[in-house]
Parts: sequence; structure tokens; C-alpha cells
Amino acid sequence: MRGKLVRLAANLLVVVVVTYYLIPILSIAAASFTVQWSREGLPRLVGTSGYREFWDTFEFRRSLWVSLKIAPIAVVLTLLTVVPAAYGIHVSRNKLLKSAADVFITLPLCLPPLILAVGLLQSYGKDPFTLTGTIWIVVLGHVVLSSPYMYRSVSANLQMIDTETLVEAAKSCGASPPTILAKVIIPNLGPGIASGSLLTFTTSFGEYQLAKMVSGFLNQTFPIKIWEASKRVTRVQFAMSFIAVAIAFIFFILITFAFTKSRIREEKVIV
Amino acid sequence: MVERSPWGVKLVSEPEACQPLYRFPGAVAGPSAAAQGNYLSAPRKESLYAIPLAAVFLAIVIVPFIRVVAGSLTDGSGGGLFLGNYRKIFTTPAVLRSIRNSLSLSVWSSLLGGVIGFFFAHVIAGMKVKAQRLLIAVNTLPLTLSAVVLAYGFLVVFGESGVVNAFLKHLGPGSPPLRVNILTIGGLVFVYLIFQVPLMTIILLSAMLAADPHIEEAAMSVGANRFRILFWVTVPGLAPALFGGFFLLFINAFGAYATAYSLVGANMNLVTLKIVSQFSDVGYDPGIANALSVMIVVLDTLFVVGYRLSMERVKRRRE
Repeated sequence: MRGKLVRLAANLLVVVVVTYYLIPILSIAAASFTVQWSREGLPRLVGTSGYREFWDTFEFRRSLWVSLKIAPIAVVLTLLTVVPAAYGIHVSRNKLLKSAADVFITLPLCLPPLILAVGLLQSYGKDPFTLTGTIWIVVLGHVVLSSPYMYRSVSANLQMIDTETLVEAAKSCGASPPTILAKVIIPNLGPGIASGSLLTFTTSFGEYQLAKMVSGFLNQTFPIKIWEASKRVTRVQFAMSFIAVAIAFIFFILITFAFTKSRIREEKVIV
Repeated sequence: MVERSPWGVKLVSEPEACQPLYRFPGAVAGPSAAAQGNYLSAPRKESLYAIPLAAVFLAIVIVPFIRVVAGSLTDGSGGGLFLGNYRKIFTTPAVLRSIRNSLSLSVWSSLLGGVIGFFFAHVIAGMKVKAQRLLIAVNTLPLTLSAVVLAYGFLVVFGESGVVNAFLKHLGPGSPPLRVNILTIGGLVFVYLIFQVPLMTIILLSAMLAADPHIEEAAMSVGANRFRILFWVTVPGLAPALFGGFFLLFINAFGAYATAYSLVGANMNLVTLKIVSQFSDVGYDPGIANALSVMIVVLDTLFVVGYRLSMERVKRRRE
């Protein structure tokens, strides 16, 4: 009797939590296709006018394009900076370097995106180094914000392969250190690079708090425009939100797939 | 040897010129020595690979943060000596209230998220592998979505003219009409749980799956019941992960503003929204914003240290 009650409570908890997770997603899906609502608060007239309004408004389309441009650039830059660093730190025997890397990787936790943006706004807003208002300041901010994910997933991958033997073998064949990294180590880091890149893309695509402060009017990202669209009388923001959900969902599927295939522990990368 | 050329002085390598002045008695000349030198300098060379990342951090994190600290001391109306901006923070009632609101929002969402996450992880840990995998995947779903998007999702259902309120109105026009309002601190806590619960679940689940099942079996064999095991064996064993998770959740909530900003604009009195509004045209005062930013960073750093220390213990227990 008691065991049954406990099991019932456990199942109920799972149902409640999963429903809670799905509420915003499903309600956006419903709202994006709703033209008119009934008095009971349910959709009455269904249509795609929200999507049409999004497509007909140039600045909305542009913002999606800006976000789809910023995210891949952030992925590439994160790869270019973090992968060599993770490898160098992995093979180095320098204890100081290792603890410095540890501090660096935790640093983005101490500085929330807003504070990062407050600093960037004041450091790169004036003439000699004007970067605010360009996509590059947003890109670099996203590189910093997602570098811990990339670092952890690449170094988890490095721990799974025998770097020492690989490096020895390559050296004895006469390969130079850059060649070793490019032609021996990186081909073995496929899973770590894949999961890190996917996490970087989703982080960058959905990021609002830093981009809102430092991106100029012409380079407003998609989440910023969703926020601005909500000031309109129409319900175009739900159509745009659902587009964002759909893109994030594709990446969610890819991330889940990448982690189950790669044996890299997801929680070690995310927290 | 030195050779003069039209372009200036040029060193010419000659065998004698390269000979060291003193050679260790055991050292071998020739290519093997060169190889050895290469080996010895290898670790130093490999640390050079970290330079691009370090440069990005220097430009995007360190320099701007130094600017923020400097600005908190010199900028704005409270600039100059004697920490005027900081004094202003702790003497302006509206700012103090925003700090209190942010603290209670973060503490409550972390505690509630922690408790729900604990039971959710406990249930998942007791499941069969297939169901476990599915729920672990579902649990990361909210973390991939944008905060703005999630906020609008909740607004559709629980907003002022949302589904729930419309339905309550439809039920009956009672004199004090039943309504839900998510534009309060309590409502924000409810919305913040969508980030807090999945995070806590991830942290605790990994600690639970790594825990030694024999300890619970031993407790069961001496006749302890389910609840006693839960509160006297499972929870104490997970204490470091619970603390670490709480710290991380707190950091996560304290520095965030996207959700609150999407729901209510800058009207809600939170520290982060106070900072945002300092950069608008109306109340431009970067000195206050910088001082508040430094305060957040100091508090976050304390919690990050707590988080790291707790997670170190979790890791050590696993090994």
C-alpha cells in the first residue's frame, strides 16, 4: 500500500515537472498559429498571419539573419581559440598553467553576461576601439560565454584518447607541433568538438542579455527583435518565438544525439 | 661572425660561432642533443597554444572589468574619493529594495528549484535505463531555449490576459476576482524554476548515479524504511552536491535579467534591471551601474568559490 503510494507520488512528480517544461513551448506553438482568442482564453481563429507579418517585415527578417550569422562565427572563433588551449593545457605538465586555466574557465560564472556587457559598453564604445554596435563585440562576448562548454567537452574528449602515444608517434615521424595538433589530435576530437560546437551555437543563438546591451540598431539579434515585436499590437512575437523554439529544438536533438554517441558525460560539460 | 651588408649587420652562422662556451662533461654533441633540447622545451611551447584564448579573455573579460571597477570609483555623480558610488548604493532606499528583491528572488528560486530538482533526480535515478535516458534528455530541453522565448511562453498561459486568467474570469465574476499575476516576485520565482530545476537535476543526478548503492542496501538490511534511508543516508551523502547546486543556482538567478525584462520591462525593482536602466537616456549614471556590477561580481565570486569547493568534494567522493 505504502509502496504503491510512493510510486504514485513519483510518477505524479515526473508528470508535473515534464508538463511544466512543456508549458511555454506548447503555448508558444499554439499562440503563434492563433489569430483570435475566445473569451475562455482558448484559440478561436487559426491562421498563419503572424508568420506572414514576420516574413513581410524587413527588420525582423534581418534580425534572424544577424543571429544566424553571429552564431556560426562564434562557433568558429570558439573552436579556433579553445581547442588549441585545451590541448596545450592537457599535455602541459605545468601545474601553474593548469590552475590558471581552471580559474579562467570559471571566470564567466563570476561575471554574468550583463556585467560583461556593462564593461564592454564602456571599454569599446569610444573612438580608438569602437566595437559596440558591430557584430564582432557580440561574437566575442559569445565566445567568452560559451568557452567553458567548449573547453570542458574538448578536454573530456582529450582524456578519453591516449594523447601521449599519439604525440610520440607523430614526433618520431618528424611532424612539427602545429602539424601534430592539426593532423593527429584534432581528427581524434570529433565528438568533443561536435558537442561543444552545438552547445556554443545554441548559447549564442538564444543569448539576449549581452547582445541587448552592446549590439547597435542594425545588428540587433533575433531574441532582441522578439522582445521589440512584443510591443506591437499584433501577435507576431509568438510566431518569431516559435521559429526560435524550432531552431533550438533541432539543436537540442543534435546535442542529445551527439552526447549519447560520444560517451562524453553531458552533465560534466553543462555544469 | 659578423658580416656587413647593405641592409645592416647580419650574423653569419659558422660552426665555431655556435659552439657553447662550456659543455657539461656528459653531454653529447650533434642531432641527439638538439632533439633533447626540443623535448625539454616542449611543455613550454605547448602552453603557447593557450595564448589566443588568453588574449580574448584579456580583451573581453579582464580589461572591461578593470574599466568597471575604475568607473565605480570615479564615474558619475558619486565619483571621486571616499567611495561615493558605493555609499550611494547603500543609502538609496530604492536601490536597497532592489538588492533585497534580487536576493529573495535568487534564494527562493534556488531553494525551490533545489528541492524539486532533488526529488526529480531521485525519481529518475530509480528508473530503468531507457526511461532514465529519455528524462535526462527532456531535462536539458529548457536549457537550450532562449530566456525571452520562455518568458513569452509563460505569459501566454499565466499573463494578465492569459489563458488561466481568462478561464478564471469565465468561471464566475466573483467580487474579488480570482487572478494569477506572474509579474510579482513570486511569479518570477515560478518562471525562474524552468532554469533552476533542470540545472539542479543534472548536478544531483550525476552525484546520485555515482553514489555507492551498497550503503543504502546496508541501511535497508538493518531495517531502515524508505524515508529514513532518504533523509539519513541519501541526503547526507549528497550534501556537497546539494550545496554546490544551490550556489550555482543562486549565481544563475542573481545576475540574470532577460526573463524579468521580457515580462515587465524595467518596472520590476531588481539589481540587474537597475543596472540596465542606468544606461538608458533618462537616468544615465554609469557610476552607480559600475558599483552595482562590482557588488554582483563580488557576491558571485564568493558563491563560485563555494560551488567549486563543494564540487571538489563531490569529485573526491566519486573517486
